[in-house]
Amino acid sequence: MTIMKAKKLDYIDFEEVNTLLEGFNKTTGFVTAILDLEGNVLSTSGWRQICTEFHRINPECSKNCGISDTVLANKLGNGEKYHFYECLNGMVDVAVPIVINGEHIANLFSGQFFFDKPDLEFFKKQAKKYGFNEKKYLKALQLVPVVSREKVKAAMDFLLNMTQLISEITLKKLEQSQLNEALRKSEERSRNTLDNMLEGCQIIGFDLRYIYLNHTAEIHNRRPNEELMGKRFMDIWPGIENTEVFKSIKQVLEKKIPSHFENEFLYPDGSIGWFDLSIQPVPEGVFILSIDITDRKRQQEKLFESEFRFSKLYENGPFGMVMADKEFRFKKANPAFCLIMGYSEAELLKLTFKDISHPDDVSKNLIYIKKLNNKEISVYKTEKRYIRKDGHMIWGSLTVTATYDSEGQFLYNLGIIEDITRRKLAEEDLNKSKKLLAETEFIGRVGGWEFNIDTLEQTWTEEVYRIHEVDFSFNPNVDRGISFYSDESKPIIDDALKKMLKSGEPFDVELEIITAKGNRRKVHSIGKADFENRRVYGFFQDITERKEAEEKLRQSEERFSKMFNLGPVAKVLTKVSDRLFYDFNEAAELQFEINREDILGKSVDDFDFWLDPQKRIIIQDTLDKQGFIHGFEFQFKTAKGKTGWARGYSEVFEINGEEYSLNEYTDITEQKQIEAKIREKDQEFRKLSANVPDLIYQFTRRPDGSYYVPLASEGIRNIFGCSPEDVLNDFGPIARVIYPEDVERVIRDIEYSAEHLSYFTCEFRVQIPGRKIQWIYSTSTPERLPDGSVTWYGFNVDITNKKLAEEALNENSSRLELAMQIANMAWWEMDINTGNVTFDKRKVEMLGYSSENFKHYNDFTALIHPEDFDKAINAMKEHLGGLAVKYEVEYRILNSYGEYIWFYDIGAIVKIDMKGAALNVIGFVIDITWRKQAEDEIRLLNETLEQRVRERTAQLEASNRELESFSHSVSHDLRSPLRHINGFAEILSQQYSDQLPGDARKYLNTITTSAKKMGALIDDLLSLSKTGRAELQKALIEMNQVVVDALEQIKPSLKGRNIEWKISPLPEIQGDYNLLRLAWINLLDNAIKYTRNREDAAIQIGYKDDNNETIFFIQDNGVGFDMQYAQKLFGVFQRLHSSVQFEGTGIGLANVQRIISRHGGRTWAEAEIDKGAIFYFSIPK
Amino acid sequence: MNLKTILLAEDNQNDIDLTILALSDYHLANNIEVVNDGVEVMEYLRFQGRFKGRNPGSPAVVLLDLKMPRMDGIEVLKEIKNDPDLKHIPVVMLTSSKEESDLIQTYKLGVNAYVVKPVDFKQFMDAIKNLGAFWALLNELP
Repeated sequence: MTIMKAKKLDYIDFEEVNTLLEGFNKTTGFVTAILDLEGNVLSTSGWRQICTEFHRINPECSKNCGISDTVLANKLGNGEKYHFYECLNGMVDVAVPIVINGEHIANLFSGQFFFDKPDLEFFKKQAKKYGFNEKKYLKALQLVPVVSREKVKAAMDFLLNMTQLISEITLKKLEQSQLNEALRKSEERSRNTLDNMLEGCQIIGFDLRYIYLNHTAEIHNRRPNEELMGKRFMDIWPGIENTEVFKSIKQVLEKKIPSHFENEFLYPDGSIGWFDLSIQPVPEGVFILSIDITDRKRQQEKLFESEFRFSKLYENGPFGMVMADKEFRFKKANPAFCLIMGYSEAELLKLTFKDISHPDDVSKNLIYIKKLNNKEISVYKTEKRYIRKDGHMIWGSLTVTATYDSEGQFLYNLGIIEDITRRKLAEEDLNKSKKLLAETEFIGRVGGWEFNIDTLEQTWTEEVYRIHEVDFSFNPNVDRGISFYSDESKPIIDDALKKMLKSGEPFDVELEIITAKGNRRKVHSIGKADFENRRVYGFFQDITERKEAEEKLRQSEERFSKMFNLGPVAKVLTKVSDRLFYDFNEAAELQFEINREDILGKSVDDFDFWLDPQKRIIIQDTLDKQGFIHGFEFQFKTAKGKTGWARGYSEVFEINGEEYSLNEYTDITEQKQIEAKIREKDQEFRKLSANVPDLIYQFTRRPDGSYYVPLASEGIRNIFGCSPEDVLNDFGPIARVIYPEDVERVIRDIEYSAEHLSYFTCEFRVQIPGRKIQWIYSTSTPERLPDGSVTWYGFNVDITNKKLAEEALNENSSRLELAMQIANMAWWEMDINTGNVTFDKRKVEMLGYSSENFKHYNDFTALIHPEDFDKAINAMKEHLGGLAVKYEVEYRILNSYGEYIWFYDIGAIVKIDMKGAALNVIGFVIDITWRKQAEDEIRLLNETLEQRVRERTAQLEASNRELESFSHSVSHDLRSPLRHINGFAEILSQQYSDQLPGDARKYLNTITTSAKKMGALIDDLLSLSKTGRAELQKALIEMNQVVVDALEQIKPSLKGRNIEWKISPLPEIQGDYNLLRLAWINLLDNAIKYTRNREDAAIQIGYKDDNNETIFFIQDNGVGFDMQYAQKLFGVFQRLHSSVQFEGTGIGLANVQRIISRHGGRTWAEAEIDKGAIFYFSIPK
Repeated sequence: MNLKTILLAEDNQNDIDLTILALSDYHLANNIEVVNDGVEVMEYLRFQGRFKGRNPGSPAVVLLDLKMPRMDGIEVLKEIKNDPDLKHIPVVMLTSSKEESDLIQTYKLGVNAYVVKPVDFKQFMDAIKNLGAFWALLNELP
């Protein structure tokens, strides 16, 4: 700031100012000075002698001058235009501020004059004080002019204007200098900028000489600037006069119109540069700004060429071309593409590649597109199918290239498509036929071969390789081919080949080869010569499997024939179509007494072995219908007329498209005779067993696993609810009634018995509809029959009652067991004769031992506590000797932890022999340790109880006494002062009432009321405390009497009241008369108090008889209360009304509740605001 | 009318003042002799101590505060009623408390009246006046 000011002051030309001020001083006599704000004198003119020689010389006096200067300067600082001031040395000064550009930088002072004639005496004193020569001093004083105020003002205005003028001039100077500086800097900056610009800058003067060249211009010109500076443009660049540049420069120089163009510049060495040129007129001449655009121009040229080539291909080329965006929406399509796809370009632009691709090929393309978009690849090629607009599928070869600009920004995907449908179709056909051939070869295991007659080089088809088990690298020729044949086959094929080559005779042989892997294969080889083409070709087939199959068939036929012919069963084979006998085995010859030769080729109708032809026809029909019939029985007659029984199995089967019927007949004649005999026996059995209630049965399991009951007594009706006939062939009626849960088990037992031929025994349940569940016990012995069946003989008994008894027993004993377990009890039994014991293992578990060591009575007694031992032994002796009804004793017994636990042991004789001697004692023990401990504790407690009661009583008595004496003194000592307060206050208000002001009487009244209230409070509290303490003196009391007595007590409060009383007869109860009276007093008091505002107050007292208590109530029609606060009612000091409304201490009801609860009763209330209240209390009966 | 003396045994000056005030309405105040404890009561009645030379005659009634220093009201009552010479003298027990046990005990000992000093001044005055009037004015000893 000061620097700036100092600088501003520098711009004031003080020489000139001094000249001016001196002139002013001479003409007007005013002295002046310019001082800066720090008080430095910058210019003075004509200062008073009194100041220069006296005041400002004397050090003390000069201080006054300094003060004057700064005071004046400060005043001016406050913005005054000018200011007068009487200096401490008695003179008048005036000051004017010099302000430049709004800034106060200096002051112009004038003064050292008087407005009036000076006071000589003052100055004389001054001279004396500062030691001035008085004469000289006064003389100097005379030189100080006396000027009128008007004159001073006029002079000051002039000075003001003058300083203003100085200021303005200074300012202008200042501004000029700043401007010059800025200009210089700006020029410097421009030059710097120009020098370092990336564009070429050159200035050429009007004489066409270079005036300025920057660094870039040097590059653009490809010549050092020194070579050019000052030289003429056209001298430097020969031949430039005819160029566009030169003409433009000339034109700008002449017409001063700027020009801007791109120009190709031919350098002297023949190279070319392209520049963007701006030519501007400048004062010196022209300014040329050049930008090198050579690269851009070259790129453009290349692009142009490429585009040109591309567009030719695009428009007229044979390939379909499209441009597509990233999503492969078509943006452009060439005519070839449109032709391939059958769409117009406009139509294609609405589609994406998906719309024209074969659906199966889309996903494949998407993978490529993704890679392309991720820039993983830039080109992809594929062959794919398209769907033309007309719906035809075509094949296309597609190449897609993603195209980017020079900055790597995606431009478009270029797709080039060639229609390859025809090629593809041809390929497909070829593939198909190849595949077909290969498949055929493979399936037929057949291949082809040929060889050149001259070279003997062979060609095999794939299958031939496979048959030989060689891989495709094998190089076949005739010799090699022959070498595979087995030793037996080699001469044959050799011979066949030779023959063929000689005479052209074809061959067709079945031979054997040994493959490369050593397997023998049967092969079928056919060969044919084609001499015209000098070749032999043929067919080669692996027939191993066929041969094997043939062999198997042969063996099977042999087996069948053996099977047919051998064995004891008659077997007859007939043809279905003509019903002629086709085969007949030895057993059949025997059975039907006819020779095989005699019957073969004869019709079954001619040789009918059936006694009953009708039955044969029925069987024949069934056979025709279902193709088989098993187990039919029929009577036959032999060719010689003998009759018998046979069981037959017939089945139709096909051989080579011809149907045959195979019939097997087992001779059962003997069996039938036995069965007849059995049936006779059965009848006998039935008669015998008819009256047995249980079931006697024979039960048979057939070899096929089915059951039936050939024999059953009538008892089956009781056991299974069915008849013997029902189960003759069928086990069903029995299986159906066996209890479902048991079926599986029964079957399992039967099967086990059948398998092991073991004795069968089983218990199971049967439920016959309409009957209760029966328990059945079944037992039987199995035997195997010749035909593989197993049959059992046995009986079933109904054991339901036994089972029920068992169940009941089980249930009881398990209950008992459970109970004993819970009770921690254990049973024991002792054989009296031996002393051996059996026992519940819990007995030893309770003691923590293991049962093995306990066998004898003594084993237990040994553990009994010595003190209890005799007691236990004697108890047993007494019982056994008949002295005690039972054995019962408590003793301590040692457990495995070394502790004695308590057993309660009880028992009695349960078995007595014929002579009446005891045999067995049975009993049980209980662990009563816990009980014993409890008993001990109780005993201990009882022993100390009395003592403790005494102590407690004493404590209670003591505290009661304390409490009593406390309340005693409370009642005395609290009441006395109250009485005094009240008394003297009363006396004051009565005897001195005329001397007391109104307010004083009111205060005295308040004192009295408060004291009375406190008295009441004390009384009630004491009463409450007494009811709590007082011993309840219960007696049978009449409640009515109590109420009457209570009413008597509160009579005073009835004064002036009109109350309708309704008091029901009340019952007698057990209670304390005094306390209940107190309760009633409080309740009555309450009712009376709160009905006070009622003209027609009504109070009712009554009772209700409840189950085990009597409920008394007192109802009033008073102000009532809000039930919300009902629970507060009975608390001490709890009040629901203000004492202004209704006086009271809030203790009465608390007292009632205490009294009632001491009687074991309850207290409660019901009320509604303004509808009265009911108070209840109950006394237990 | 020759008024007999009323002997007031009371240790509390306030009560003494109030009692005298009450009795003064019946102009009985001049006949009141005040003692401050049980021992003095007995000395008065037996002409002992500072009452050796008092005027002869028994008081018309002894108004006895229950709680007093040295010898309380009950002890005094017991002594009076056990003394054949004194037992004819009517004793009225004045007490601040309503303790029933006190009441019962004093009646058992043969008190002639038992008065609970009410807090209410008027009641108190009435009680004392009535007492004074009854015993001092009306009750002629047999």
